[in-house]
Amino acid sequence: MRAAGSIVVAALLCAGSLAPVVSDGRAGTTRPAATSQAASRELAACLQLIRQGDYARARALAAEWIEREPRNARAHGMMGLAYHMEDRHQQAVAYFERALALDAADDAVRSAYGWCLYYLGRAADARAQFERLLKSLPDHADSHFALAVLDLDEDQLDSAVDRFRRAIDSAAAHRRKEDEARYRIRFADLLTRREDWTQAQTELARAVKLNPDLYAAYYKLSRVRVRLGDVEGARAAQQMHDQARRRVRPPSE
Amino acid sequence: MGLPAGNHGSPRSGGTVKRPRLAVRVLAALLLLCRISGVNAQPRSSDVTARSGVDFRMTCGDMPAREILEVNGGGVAMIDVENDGDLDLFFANGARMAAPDRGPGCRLYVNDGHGVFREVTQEAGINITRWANGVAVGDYDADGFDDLYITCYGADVLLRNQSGRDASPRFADVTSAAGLGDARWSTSAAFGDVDADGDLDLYVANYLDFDISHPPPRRQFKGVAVMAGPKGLTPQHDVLYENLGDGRFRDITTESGCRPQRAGYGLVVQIADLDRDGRQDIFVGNDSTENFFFHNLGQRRFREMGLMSGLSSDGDGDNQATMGVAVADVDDNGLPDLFSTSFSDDSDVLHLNMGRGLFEDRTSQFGLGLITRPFLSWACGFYDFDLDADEDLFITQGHVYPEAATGKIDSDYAQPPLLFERDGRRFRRNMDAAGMLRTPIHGRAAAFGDLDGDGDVDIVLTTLNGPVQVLRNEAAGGNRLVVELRQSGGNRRAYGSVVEAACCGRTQRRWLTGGGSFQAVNAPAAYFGCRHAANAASQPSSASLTITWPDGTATKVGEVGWNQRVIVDREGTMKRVALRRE
Repeated sequence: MRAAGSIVVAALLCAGSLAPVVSDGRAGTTRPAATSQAASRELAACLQLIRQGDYARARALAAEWIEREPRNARAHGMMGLAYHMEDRHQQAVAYFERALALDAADDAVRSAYGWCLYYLGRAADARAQFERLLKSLPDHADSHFALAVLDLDEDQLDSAVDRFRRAIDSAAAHRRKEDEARYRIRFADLLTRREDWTQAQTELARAVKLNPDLYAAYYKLSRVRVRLGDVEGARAAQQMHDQARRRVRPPSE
Repeated sequence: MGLPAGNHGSPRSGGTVKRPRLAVRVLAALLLLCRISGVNAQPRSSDVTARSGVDFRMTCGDMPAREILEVNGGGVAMIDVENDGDLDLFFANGARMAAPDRGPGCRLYVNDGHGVFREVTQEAGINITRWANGVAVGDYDADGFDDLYITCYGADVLLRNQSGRDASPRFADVTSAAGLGDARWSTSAAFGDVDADGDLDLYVANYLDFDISHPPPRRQFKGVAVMAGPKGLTPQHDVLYENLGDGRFRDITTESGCRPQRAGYGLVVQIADLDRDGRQDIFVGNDSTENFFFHNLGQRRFREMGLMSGLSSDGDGDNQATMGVAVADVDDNGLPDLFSTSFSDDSDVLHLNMGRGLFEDRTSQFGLGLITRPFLSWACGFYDFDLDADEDLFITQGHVYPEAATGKIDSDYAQPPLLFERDGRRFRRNMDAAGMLRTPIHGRAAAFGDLDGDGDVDIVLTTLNGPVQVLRNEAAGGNRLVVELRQSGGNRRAYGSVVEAACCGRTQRRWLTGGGSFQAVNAPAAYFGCRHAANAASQPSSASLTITWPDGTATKVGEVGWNQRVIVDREGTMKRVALRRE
């Protein structure tokens, strides 16, 4: 099962919400760098290519950037992101680690790094990154979500409930519908494990309303309705799943 | 092989003849860490390489593999060929692309009863050199000797066991006479009495249409050029054969309802009464396409219930690249749960049986989620390796893409087997066992059973173009009980039965399924363990046995002492066989 939170990372980077930084060469200290016009262009171009799914060109661009500015944390982060978005997490990790060595305060890179570790099955390492993120950003929704998903994998349900709620509340407060939808789907997994079918149905219904493209939510909704004895409702949800799946992931994929 | 399933929530979406050195491993106390108070089973290892005799290297194409035909590896079966009470070994061996009909051939080894094997392929009359993949075992002609069905890339083969009373292994190819010999690429097969008429029917899982003279072009995976398939290649329908009772089989796939509209890339099949209604159901694990669950309606009719049951996919509705399947009652509710292995970048899946024909993906709840994600898993088996009254889990692993060795696809080409020890409601990975569980191999099929007669479960696993590995369990201490079943007719070993052993306040259940985990056949026996703390007031002396036969009829056998092998006959007799000392 997947749980990624990297859309958030891409959005953060795209929005330039975190100032690019370069290392001053001394371990553990970073200083904000003025965003040069050239760096902004590199950043925008890389992100555009990643959005288009042209990871090879994004990596080529990032490689050139790294060659020109080997101590630019953002350049290494962008290379990591290109690998991450292509699901090549092991290679992404190497670049994220370089980026974080140059700028330990880059929360966006740390978040993506955490998800890569998660996808590589390195639960404890992933947890450490998200916990560290929450120290600097206590309301970071995606970190709460990541920790909730890790708790779920450890069958630590009480802890996961609290994390999910914080993630959902934060996403809702910031009107991040797609994130909120993803969080609600995984929260429904927890409720299903507790056999709270009614509440699970509520969460899933909210999720598909927030983002009708999340086909897994329809599938889960169908399963929950089967458990509730709502055969027609289950069938309808399954049909919605099939439609959404064809729309989002055509058979050729 | 296949691709990882969907990506909900992810960034992009809404979701051989040569005899090289012996290759026998010692599985030294598979589970070294006994968690029972007062018990500290120490690892014991002994070198059994020289005395095992399984000096065999499997063939399946070349290394590195270039085409999908070269990645699945060969199968293995534990079969008592001469009816002498011990487990012999049959290996379904492949060939090479340049000469798919002229491989090194399948192999048969007989056991001397002590876990020492001698190759008897030639004297047994076995000469199968086409590209063999998997194997099924069953006494199709009800003559009291188990026969072999071999799945191939090319026509499948039915070998009739003609060993007779002189106990010298002898087989004859009766494929044509039996009406069999499907030429499509088949992988796994299973015998089971699906129409409850007392003889063994046969289900054959077919994979895909692969033209060896025109291999498909390569494709991209994670930005890396890799071999094509299975997606993009044409899946093949499976076949259900009815045993006519006269040595012939009849294809009843369509009339029985076992031909869904869309074919799947079939890799594994299990025949068992999954809803405990007294009829044998069929589960087919498909690669990259939805799994099938053929619910037995009786009268040779089935209804495909994969989607409705929840077994068709994982909990997100994503189809898995299902490779292997194991059956056990993981949550102690009396119903069989299904564990299936999958591709890398995807967790294996534990489907809990919730009753009423419904299954739920509870993989992470039992600790099998994230930890299995980086691996590409094949065969698997639930067995109580450490004899502590609960079932552990063993999984073979190895990637299909040689490109994995470059480190570019987040999963290694060679991967160590996984052993999970049961710890209450969770499975915990064990990394010990004499280093075996840290050594990367190209694991594929596996068969489970007691090879040396000491009552614990050993493993034989095949590797891709590598040596066969015999993993001997040397678990120290613990009470052990091996139960075999007998009944009249072709289903002599009572495939499809459930054996329950109640002891020490809990009931353990074992399913004797028709079909193994992946292209393999396990020993037709139920293995139980029970261990008390060393400082306990008393050790358990017996377990209360109950048998549920394939037709759902239950027989309460009563108290049976530990530390023996018992052969329970449906007519009410029980034969006791002493176990060998560890």
